[in-house]
Amino acid sequence: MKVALAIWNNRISPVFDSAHQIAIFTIQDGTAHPSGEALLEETLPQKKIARLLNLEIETLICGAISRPLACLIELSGIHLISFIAGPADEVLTAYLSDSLEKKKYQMPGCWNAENCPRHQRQCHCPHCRKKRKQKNEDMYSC
Amino acid sequence: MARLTKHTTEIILESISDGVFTVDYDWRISSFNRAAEEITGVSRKEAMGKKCCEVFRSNMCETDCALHHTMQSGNPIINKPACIINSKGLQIPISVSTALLKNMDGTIIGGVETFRDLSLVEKLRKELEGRFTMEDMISNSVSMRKIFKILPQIAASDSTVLIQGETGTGKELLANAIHSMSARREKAFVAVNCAALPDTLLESELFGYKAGAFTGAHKDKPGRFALAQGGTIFLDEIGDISASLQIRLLRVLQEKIFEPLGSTFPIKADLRILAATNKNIADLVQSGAFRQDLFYRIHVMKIELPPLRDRKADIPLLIAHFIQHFNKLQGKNITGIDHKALAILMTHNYPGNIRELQNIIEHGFILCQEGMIDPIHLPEYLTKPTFLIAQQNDMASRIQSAEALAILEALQHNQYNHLAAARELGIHKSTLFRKIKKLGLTQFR
Repeated sequence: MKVALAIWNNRISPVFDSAHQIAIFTIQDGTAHPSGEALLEETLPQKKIARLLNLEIETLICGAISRPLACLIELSGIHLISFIAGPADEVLTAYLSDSLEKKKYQMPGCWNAENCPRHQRQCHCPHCRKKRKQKNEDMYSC
Repeated sequence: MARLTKHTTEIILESISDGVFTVDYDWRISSFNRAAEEITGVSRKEAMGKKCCEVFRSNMCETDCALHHTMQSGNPIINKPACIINSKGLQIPISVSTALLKNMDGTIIGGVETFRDLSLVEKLRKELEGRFTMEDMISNSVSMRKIFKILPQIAASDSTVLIQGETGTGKELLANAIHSMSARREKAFVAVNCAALPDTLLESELFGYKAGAFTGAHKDKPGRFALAQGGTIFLDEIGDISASLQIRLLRVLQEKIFEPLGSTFPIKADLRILAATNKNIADLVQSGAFRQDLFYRIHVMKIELPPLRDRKADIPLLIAHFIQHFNKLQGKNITGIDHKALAILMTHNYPGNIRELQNIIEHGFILCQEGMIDPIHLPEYLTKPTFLIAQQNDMASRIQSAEALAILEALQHNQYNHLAAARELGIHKSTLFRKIKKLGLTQFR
C-alpha cells in the first residue's frame, strides 16, 4: 500500500491545496519503505488528484485542505487523513503505530471533535470505515 | 506608564475586527487577538507557541509568505490578497498586511501580521460576476455525489455537455462550476437564455453582426460567441430555439466556426458549449421539434440534475446555507429554523426546486426579525395544509385532511394541471373540482 505525505521543509505541508511536494512510502508488514518524492505542480484539483492516482497513492496524509478538494479526493477513492501537523518522520511513525489521532499531530483548532472537519466528516475506526464502504456514503457534504 | 500602554494596546487589539497575530524569530505565534480567533477558528490558547503556518494555513505560506518577505527585507506589505483554510475546512478570502515587530528600544523581535476577512466582499463579488464553484453546490445526496464524482473529468474534457433538470435545480450553477474547474476558467463564462429572446434577436445576440448587415446596424457588434472566445458559452433552454437557429448552431458545433450576420468571413470558434434544458430533448427530437443531428452533437455528455423532491435529505443543508447567506446579506442574526417549520418544508414537494426553497427562506427573513424561523414566517400556501391536519382530530376530518393533502400534492406534481392531477389520483376531473371546492382548496386552483 502506498502512503503519501504532503511535505514542506521536512514537516507536513500546512495547506494541501497549495502543496508542491509529496513523500511516498510503501507500507509492507507494518514498515514504511521510502518510494521517492514527487512534485505536485498541478494547480487544477482534478489534475492534482489524477497525479495522485497515477502514483497509485491509496492514503494521503496532509495538513489543512479545502472542503471541495477533500471531497474530490475521497470520491476518487483515496483515503484522506487531513489537518495533520508536525515533522514528517514523526507523523509517519505515528501513522504506522495508529496514533495520529493524538493531539500532538492535530492542527490547532482541530482537536475538538465539534470543530474538526475530519471528525465531523468521518470516523476512522474499522467499524465505521466498513460501514461507510458498504453504504458508499458518509457525513461529509461538498 | 509602560504597563498602561500595554494594557491599552491589548484593549485596542481585542476590539478591532481585523485579525492580528505576532510571531517570534522561530515563526511561532506570540500573540493572537480575538478577531484572529474568529476568522481562523483557532483559539488563542491553541495558537500560542505554534508555528504560524499551521495556525494561519494560508495558500501563500509555502512559497510567498508576506511575513517572511517583510522579515527579510524590512519592508511592510499592505493588503495582499490571500486565502486561508479555517478550522472547519472552509476557504476564507483575506487581505494581509505585515510589518516588523520592535520592542521599546527599537530592536526587531519578530513580525506582526494583520488580516481582514473578505468573505462577504468575495461572496458579493461572486454573485455580481455570477461565478460559482463546486463548493457552492450544496448537497449530500447520493444522486448529487455521483455527479460530483464525474464532474472533474467532465470539466477537464472540452466536450459539449447537456444539463437536464427541472427549473430551479441549479443548471446554470452546475455549468458555472464546470467552467470554474476547467482549463478555460481564466476566460469568460457567457450565459445566454435562449428562451428569453425572440428568434431574430437571439441570432444577432449569439453571432453578432457587421455594420450595414440590416437597417439600424450602424457599427459592428460582437456576438456572445465572440465574447466567449477562449472560454465557455452556456446556452440555457436550448430546447426552445427555432429550426433555422438550430442549423446555424449545428455549424458552430460541427465545424467550430461561426459567421456574424452580414460577414463573409467565418471566425474560428475557440469555445466550449454547455447547454441546458428543462424539457426532454429526446421527446422533442421524436416530435420533430429538435434536429436529431444537433441533439447528438450536444448530447456528448448528459448530466441529469435531480429535482429537490427526490433529494429531500438536502433540505436541512440548503436551509442552513440560505439562512447563513441571508444573515450576511441582510445583516440579521436568524439563528435557525423551528422544527415545526422544518417539518412543513420537508413535506413540501417543491415544483420550483431549490429556487423555491430559497424564496421561502427569503420570505421567512422578511417576516422574522430575530431568533428562529417559525411556521408563521412561512408562506401561507405551505402552512395551510399542515394547519388543516393539526386542527382536526375525528376520523372524518382526518380523512378529509388526507384527501386535501393528496390533492395538493398531485396538483403540485402536475404543475397545477387539474386533468393530470385527477388522472394521477385516479378520479374524474369533475370529482377533483368538487373535492377542491368542498375542502376549501380553491386558492390552489
